[in-house]
Amino acid sequence: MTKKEPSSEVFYWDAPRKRLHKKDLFPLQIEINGQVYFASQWTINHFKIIRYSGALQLNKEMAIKPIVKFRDFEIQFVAKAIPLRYDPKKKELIASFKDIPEEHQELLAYFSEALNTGDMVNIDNVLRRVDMPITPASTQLVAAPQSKSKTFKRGLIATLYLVSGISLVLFTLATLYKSFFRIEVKTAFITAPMTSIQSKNQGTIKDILISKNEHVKAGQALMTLDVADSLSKQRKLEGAKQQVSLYTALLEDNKSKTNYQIRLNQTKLTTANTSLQSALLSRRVKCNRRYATEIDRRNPQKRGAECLIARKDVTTARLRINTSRASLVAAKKGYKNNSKETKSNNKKSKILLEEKLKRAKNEVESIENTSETFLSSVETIFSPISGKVLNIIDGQHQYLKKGQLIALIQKDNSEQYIEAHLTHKEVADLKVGDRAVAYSPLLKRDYSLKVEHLDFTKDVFSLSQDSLFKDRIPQDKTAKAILKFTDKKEETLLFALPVELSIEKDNPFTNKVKESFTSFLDLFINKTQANHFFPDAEAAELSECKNASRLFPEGIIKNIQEIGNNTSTLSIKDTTILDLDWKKKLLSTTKKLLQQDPTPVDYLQSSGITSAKNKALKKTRIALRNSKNSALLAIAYYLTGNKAYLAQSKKYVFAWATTHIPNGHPINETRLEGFLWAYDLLYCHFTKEEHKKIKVWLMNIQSNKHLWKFGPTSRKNNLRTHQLKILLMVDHLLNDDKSLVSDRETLLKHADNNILDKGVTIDYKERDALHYHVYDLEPWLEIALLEPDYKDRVNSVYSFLVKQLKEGNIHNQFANSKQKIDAKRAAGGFSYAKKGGTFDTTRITRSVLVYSTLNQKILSEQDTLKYLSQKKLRQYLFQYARYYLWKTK
Amino acid sequence: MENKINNLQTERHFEWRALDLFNLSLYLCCLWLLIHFMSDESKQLFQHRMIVLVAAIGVWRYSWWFLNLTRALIYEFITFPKLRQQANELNASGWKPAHLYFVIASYKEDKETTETLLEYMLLECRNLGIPATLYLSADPQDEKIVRSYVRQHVDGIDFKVIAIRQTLPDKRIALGQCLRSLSRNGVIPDSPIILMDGDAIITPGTLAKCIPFFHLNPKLHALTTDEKAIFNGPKWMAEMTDLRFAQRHLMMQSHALSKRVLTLTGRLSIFRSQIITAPNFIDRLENDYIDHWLWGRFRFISGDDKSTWYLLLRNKAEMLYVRDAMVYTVEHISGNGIQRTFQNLLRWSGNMLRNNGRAIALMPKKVPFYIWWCLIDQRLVIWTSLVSPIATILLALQFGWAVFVVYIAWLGLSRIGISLFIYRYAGRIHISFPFLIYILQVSNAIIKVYILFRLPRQRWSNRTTTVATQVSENKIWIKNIAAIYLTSFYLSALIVLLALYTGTLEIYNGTEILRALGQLFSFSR
Repeated sequence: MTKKEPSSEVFYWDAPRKRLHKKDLFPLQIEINGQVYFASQWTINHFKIIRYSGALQLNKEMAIKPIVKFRDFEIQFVAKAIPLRYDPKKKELIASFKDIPEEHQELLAYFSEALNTGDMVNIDNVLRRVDMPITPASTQLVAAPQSKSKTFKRGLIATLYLVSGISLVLFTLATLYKSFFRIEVKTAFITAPMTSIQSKNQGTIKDILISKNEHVKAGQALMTLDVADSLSKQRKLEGAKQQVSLYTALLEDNKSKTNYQIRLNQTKLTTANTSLQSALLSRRVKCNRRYATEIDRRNPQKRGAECLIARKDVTTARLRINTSRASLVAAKKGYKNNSKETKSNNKKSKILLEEKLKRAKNEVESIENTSETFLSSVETIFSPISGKVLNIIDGQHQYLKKGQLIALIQKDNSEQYIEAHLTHKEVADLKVGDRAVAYSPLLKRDYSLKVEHLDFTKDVFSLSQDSLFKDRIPQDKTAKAILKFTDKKEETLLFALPVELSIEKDNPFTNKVKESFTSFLDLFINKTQANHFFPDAEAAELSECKNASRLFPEGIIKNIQEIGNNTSTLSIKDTTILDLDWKKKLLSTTKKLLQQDPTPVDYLQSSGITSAKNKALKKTRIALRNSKNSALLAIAYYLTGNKAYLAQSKKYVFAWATTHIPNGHPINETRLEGFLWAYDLLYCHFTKEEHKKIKVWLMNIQSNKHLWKFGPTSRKNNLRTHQLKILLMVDHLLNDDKSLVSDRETLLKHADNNILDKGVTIDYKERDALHYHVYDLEPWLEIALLEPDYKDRVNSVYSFLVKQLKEGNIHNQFANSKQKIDAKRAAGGFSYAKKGGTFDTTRITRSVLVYSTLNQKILSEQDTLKYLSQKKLRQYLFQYARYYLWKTK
Repeated sequence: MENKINNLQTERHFEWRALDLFNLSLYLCCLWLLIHFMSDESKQLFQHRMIVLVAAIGVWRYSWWFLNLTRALIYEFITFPKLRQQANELNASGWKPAHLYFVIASYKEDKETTETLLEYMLLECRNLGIPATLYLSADPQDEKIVRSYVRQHVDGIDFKVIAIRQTLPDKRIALGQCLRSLSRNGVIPDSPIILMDGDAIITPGTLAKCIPFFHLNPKLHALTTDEKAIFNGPKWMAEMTDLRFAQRHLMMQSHALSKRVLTLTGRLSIFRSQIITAPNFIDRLENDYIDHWLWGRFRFISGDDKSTWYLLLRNKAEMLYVRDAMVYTVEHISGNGIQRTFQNLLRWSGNMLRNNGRAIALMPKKVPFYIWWCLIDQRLVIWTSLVSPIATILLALQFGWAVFVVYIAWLGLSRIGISLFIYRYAGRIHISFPFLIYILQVSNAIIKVYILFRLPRQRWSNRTTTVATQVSENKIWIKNIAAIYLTSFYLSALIVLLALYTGTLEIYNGTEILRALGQLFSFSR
């Protein structure tokens, strides 16, 4: 132990005798059975531990390890102890040290003494050396006094923060929700199918016989109009007097016109002369040294420059005089000419004007002398339909122009709807079927709606006329949406009532967030509010999904699974043709597809393109490979049971459903069929939310196709066939009986229009090419798979094709095509469209496959087998596989 | 280091350097190019209404800044020269205080630093010829260094050291015990007591410049001096320290015009003996605390200089900034310094915020109005500093990257404008200042927002990472959650307000908000 050094004369310890001294207990720790305890008291011989929790046997030796923490060291040694007493209630143990080695005893004695003398001190249970005693200090604060007012204040602040926080969260949520998940439209109005009644003649309203919101019958009188000479006497008189004033003014003008010109030019000449005099004076002063000032004389450079300017002014003034003189001469000459050469013309004009003036004066006199009643004659305006008067012109004796709107009548039994005007950016986030809420500030009520129709471009498709609300719509809102009420019942709302519309946005981001939010809410609210999209019956059907198919024949899934398990032979007894094993090929193809992500596009484009190198066409074709691939993946799943195929197929379908924006084009969207077949096969494997999104997509396809405007040719040719193919598939998938009935009606008409005698299609007739016959036949065959009633008619189309092939009528194609686009396509690199070219017989592969499927005929036994190629079979692998899997019996 | 110490400046001087001018020209050229070649898309953003808000805040902030600059110049050229003349006259008359008292709380300082401190301290005592006592609270090792050095160099000076051992590792306790000892040993009234850190070096003549003011103005109870740093560490940190001290110099002069300062820096401040040795003053210094509505009563750990300042401010004591007296601080930084900078900002911001509220509560009846408004401004600036970065991000969500070009141009222009004035105080042109001003502004604001709701979170020093919450552990988790909640609440409110203002979010009326909530939670369809 080092001795305390004496203080120097300059270095002192702080007055130790004045300070409070403090001794502290040696912080001895003892480890027993791995547990470390603080010795609450100890001497060289004994120690006491409180809160002892270990096992012990009194008077029996036990191993201990005393631990001393000194500065940064931890001194410990092994020793023995004998427990002398143990109080189980207080858990106090008193024990004596045994056989502590001498050097360790010395160490303990050393620390103990240092503590007693104050050389060491316990700081935070660590023994530290101090050279002198220390002053105790505390960092313990005096507790704050408790009072009710303080507690109240704390509570109040906390409550205020809590309320403000909740308000902020709700406000933010609502704002975010409105900003990102809904489209707010202020330019929306309640409207209905209506008839507008316009004035056929001009006249003054005599009597209004009905009032607003009144029901009228067809032929009922609406108002009477005074039409014979509809201007009132006063108005007529004012008009005639105005005519008199006009002719008087014209006559005056005719006289004074020439005099004015002469006077004007004389003034100009006088002004020019004055300017010349002024310029001459200035020139004299600036250019003649005699007249120059003293300062100017001293500065000849400045004077020279000013002289030059003055000379220019003189020249300009002279020029002006000349011009004015010339104008004056011309004006005087004109006056003379006027007097001589055009004297007769002027006279005639004057006479004419005087005559008109006289007539106008007579008119005034005549009106003044005519009585009011003599002028009138009455016309009655009748309602052309039965319905409710939504609006009628207000104000008796009001003057109506010809064609002015008199009344609006809503037809009986017609539903009101909402017409919303949006920007293109807004409408891009909407889809048919999206839900919306309309709020009427006037009625202070909400109405639920559903988007029925979206009109992206006002001039492409509109309600045949400009909007009635066009005055109230900003110019950028060129898109339009029609929304139907879903809960309005019988109530009739005020026509043209403005409403604030809030429509759900429908894009992948918002859908994903909504889905997560709904799932989150479901954790707390034990109900699935999101299911309102599905009617209860459909939800129940989903829960009991038993692999029922809508497009494929019943039992198809079982059939595929059996083939996959090799427990079933092929449905059609057939061996592979052209050495192509469909199952092997399908599995090898789909295995590669597992690594390929879907490549959906928002818009498809193939129709009307005349260049084979067109980028949009290529992009569309590449993207549409996803369609047949999704169907192949679905089959592969049932064949193998491997869920990777299931996931990948679903991924393809779902990606397209959430990306593609249908516009209803019959050709561009015809190859989407693969997704529909895949969706049918995997129907039971989609979740409700996935179904919701896919069905929204299908509904969009359906509604846009229904709204597609066909031309006079396209309504009869392959465009309509392709359209109906997809429509029927979608109708089946959506279980939309109403639409199915309507589409079947259209189909019936179309079959009559499109398929002519002996199975000739209208396309063949129009294009003079088997290519288009086949292109029309392909959708017909697909339709026949869904609608067996058409089997015979479609077979006749197929027979016509086979007959042409057999007879070798495959040359000189497109020779008499009526469509100019064929020539353009031929020039653009589409070899099939070449005028006078030969039909590529392998082109019929798909038709042969579907025909064989439809008629359950063995492929290898058909005469057309020779036209098939392996390349085409690989291209139509889905149809090839379907041929083997289809089983209708 | 030795070279740096031997070349200590006693006052600030400006130095022109060719390289600095070149750097400045380069900066201005880059800025001109950025503005000149700005796309039309970016230029159109100047018409956005956000510019109105930014301009309004800018006008407010820069007006305030220029007001401080004007006040600093008035202090520099009008007020202080008169005081200086009086002090010089007093010195020339032969007036001296009866005794000098130094109080140093040091902990494991570098030997070289301690010896330099003592060298300059003894030099000052020798030059003044006044008896002096050093009250030292230090580590035993430091004591040995002091003892050894003083014994060797004390010749001819009436100088003694009294060492005080501390029981708790707490600077406040150490200072308190020093002051208690000082009190016990007897203090001559009106004597100057110099409180300083173990790493502060007094430049020659500092005490002669400072001490006469206590005699000239009986109401003066404390003063502090200009500061600079002898820096051993990353260059950017040295530049940042230069910037901070230059800003401090400017602001201190502005505040001193109101006979108060906003901090009596712990590096070196001189106090009149009466108040500082009063028992209740020492008690409060040792265990200073505030009562917070959320955290209850908690003790301050660091920030003893803020406590002394507050206790004097409460007593309406006058304070002074001696602009021509210089004290150096020795900083040794190892590593990249980011962690250290962060710790420093955390400590300074925490100390400021813990004292700011109670100082504001003194109201203008106890605090000069200007100083009181400065305290309010310290709170407001936290939020105004965050407006432009947040608004820029929000606008970028709407308009894309073009917004950042405009923002960088704005920052470049505004910050160089400020820097041009600060260069005068920093002594030379530092091209890093425009960048550092912005970084400090934003990082300080973020740290202050964090600490504003966690006032008890303190650190013993800027070197350790021990966090002492100093509040009752009872239901501490609730308080921690409340702190997170409050931080989120205020930040969200700011972001939402700015989003509404910038048009990132649309503004809806109350009815629309209620209807949206209904739709969101499906109360109605």
